[in-house]
Amino acid sequence: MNYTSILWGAVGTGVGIFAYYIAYIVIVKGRLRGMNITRELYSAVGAFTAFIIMMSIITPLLSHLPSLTKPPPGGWVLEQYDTIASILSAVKIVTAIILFPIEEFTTYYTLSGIINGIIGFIGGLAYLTAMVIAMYKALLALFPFAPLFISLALARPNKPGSIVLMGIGLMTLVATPLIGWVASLFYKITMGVVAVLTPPCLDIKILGVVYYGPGPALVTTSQGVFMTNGTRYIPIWGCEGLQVSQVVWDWLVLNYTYTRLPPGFSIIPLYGGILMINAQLPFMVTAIENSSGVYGAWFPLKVLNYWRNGTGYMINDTVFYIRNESVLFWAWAGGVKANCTLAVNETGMVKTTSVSGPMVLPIFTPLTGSYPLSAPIGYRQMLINATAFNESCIIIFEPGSRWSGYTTLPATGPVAWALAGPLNLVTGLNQQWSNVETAFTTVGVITVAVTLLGILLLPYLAIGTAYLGAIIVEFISPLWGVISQLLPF
Amino acid sequence: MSVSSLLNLPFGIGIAIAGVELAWGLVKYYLAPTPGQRREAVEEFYGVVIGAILTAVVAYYMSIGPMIGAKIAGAMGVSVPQIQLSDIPNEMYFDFNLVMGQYIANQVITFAISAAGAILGVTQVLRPVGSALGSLSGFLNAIMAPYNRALVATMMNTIALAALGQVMGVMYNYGIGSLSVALLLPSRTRRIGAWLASFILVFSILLPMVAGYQDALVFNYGNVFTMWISTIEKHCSNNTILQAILSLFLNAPSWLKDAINIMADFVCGITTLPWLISNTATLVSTGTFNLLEGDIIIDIVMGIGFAITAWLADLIEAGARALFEVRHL
Repeated sequence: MNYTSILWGAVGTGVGIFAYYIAYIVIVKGRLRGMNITRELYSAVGAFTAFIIMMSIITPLLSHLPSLTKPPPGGWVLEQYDTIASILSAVKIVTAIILFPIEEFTTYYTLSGIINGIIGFIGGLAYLTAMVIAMYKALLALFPFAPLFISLALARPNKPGSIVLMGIGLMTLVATPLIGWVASLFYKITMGVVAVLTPPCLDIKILGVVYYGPGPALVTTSQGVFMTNGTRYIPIWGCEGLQVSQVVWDWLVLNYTYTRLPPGFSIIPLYGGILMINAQLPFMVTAIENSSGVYGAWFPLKVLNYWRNGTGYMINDTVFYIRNESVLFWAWAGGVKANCTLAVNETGMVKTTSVSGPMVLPIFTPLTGSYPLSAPIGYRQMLINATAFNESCIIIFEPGSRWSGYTTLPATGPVAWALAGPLNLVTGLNQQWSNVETAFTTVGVITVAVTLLGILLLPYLAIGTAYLGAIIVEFISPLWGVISQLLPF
Repeated sequence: MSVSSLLNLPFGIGIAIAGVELAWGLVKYYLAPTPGQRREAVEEFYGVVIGAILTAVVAYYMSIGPMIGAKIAGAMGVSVPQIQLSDIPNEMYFDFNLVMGQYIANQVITFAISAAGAILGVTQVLRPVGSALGSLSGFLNAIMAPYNRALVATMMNTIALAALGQVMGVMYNYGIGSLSVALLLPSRTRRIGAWLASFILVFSILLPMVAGYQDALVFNYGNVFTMWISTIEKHCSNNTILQAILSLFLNAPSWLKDAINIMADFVCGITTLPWLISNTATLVSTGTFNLLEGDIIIDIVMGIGFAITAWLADLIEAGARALFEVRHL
């Protein structure tokens, strides 16, 4: 909006009103009715002068204020809020469906609380932004009338209605650009926060998981990781494909194949089919395990030498017995010992890897279940040549560190996104921190300015304009006296 | 306008008061005992004539206020219906009912789904269904939260406008507009007359204009919830599985059938999540923002209206003093 045209409009309106008002006082009251008009004339002329002075001050001030920007789209802010709130709520529904068959009520209620918190925060922010934008739009509609309110107030400065009108006029002139600026800042803040929270898409699916292979395995997919123990369903984004990138058991990388079966008829809403995974090591192994987890694996690869009455068999999952045999073992264990000759070589026959659980904030890890340590401790992958000629030999495989874990809430796709919500909120606010500071400082300054203007300045309006009018009239009167002497009529 | 219609309220009161004013002026003229006092009475009579004309004009002005308000709004680019002063309380009550109905429907459905979830959740077997329903109620609550706030703000505005409309309607019916001008004549009642006249001058135009604007807002954006439900129903009418399930409850009581219908529609909506979300976001957000903006405009305009009333009251008082105060010769 062009400030010059506003100034001319304001001056034109004000001059018009004051011209009529002063003419009325002088001609009707003074000349025709012969009333004493001194005080009223002083006030009117003072008000007129004050009006001119005020507009002269406000105009250069306005040019230093931010220009009147196009109002940001407030409906868009609420639309973004509704989209995010809908997806977060859908995550709650999906979580309820996934978690309740395994009776993880606490996890559901905790996640529900987290999601409600995020919705509450962005809802408050979006509502505040929409309100400020709506106020700015309303003030913009009022803006062209601001000079009219100021001139009306100055025309009769010593009245309560005038003080309110002056406040409205001044605030509209000065505060509209400021509120527009604040509205833009709030819009930037909200959109910045919304941008980091925006989901990849609006489509959520629940995928059934079927796993065949040694367990529990840690499956890494393009939408997150999960343990195969306890996992029946995982939530995924429907718009993104799901690729399995790794299957790990006891830090050993398994060979795997997977297929995704399309959904047939299902009563489960959002059901997206089945993910079927087949995984295995290059050879059959014996796992060293008990109820608390897996501690390694071994396998007699080959009988190298066999003498008369040679024999060999497994006693339990850590002990193998041989007699009159030389056997080559592969082992993934803490160590090996035997009462016969052992030749131990480190090997890398099976690829090992370090692992990581879901990428969620530490406080949320209990919700997702329990995951193995990132790297194996004390494990060695060995090729062991055990030889027992004419003797009995017990080979004992020592356990390594524990591999165990289970998934309660699969932190995949939408759930991983929802659990990252609080961190994303903080990141978004951090990115917008300078805008947050500026917005709230401006709101504070406007509040203080309005309070000071209301309390200190406006009550003195009447006295000020009266004095100003007296000075002007007393200055013009003698001058008019001189001029009138020169006029022939 | 026929002559007989002028005798109806409130014109009748305005004309009657104007007649009494003129009669009183004549009485004073004829009863003046001295030529000086008669000249005073003549001067006073001029004022009384102006007052009588103004009295009748104000009665007429109040009747055409809604039309002037609609024209001013039209000139500012806002199309508002013309609402007569006496109709404002009814119209606002109707709007309040509509908006309150939306608010209650929203809350009741949210509560009903939540309660159904809680009841089903008591049984171990149906606990997942119960929780899914609880989440569905959370879904409704979340997406409708800004709209509910906007509805509350609209309700408050309709109540305030209805109250003002009630006052203005009574003033109109009892000819207070005309009386206020009559009260300007005697110096003792001039101040109250000025305030009344100012209030009537400003709000005869402003109130119908704002009420019309509020009515237009409610008409356009006050029933978003119903529209939203209808959209989902329409979307799900082709869902064969849903229709098959609903057909099982054909003989159920109507309340149960309705409840199952709504829940089934929501479940159907959830199964086509992208459509549901984009549709909801567009429909609800547009209505919410426009309602909010309208509410703020109404609040600001009404504030300005009261400020102008105060300003104008002072001006009218001064003007009345200049017009009707008689110089004692």
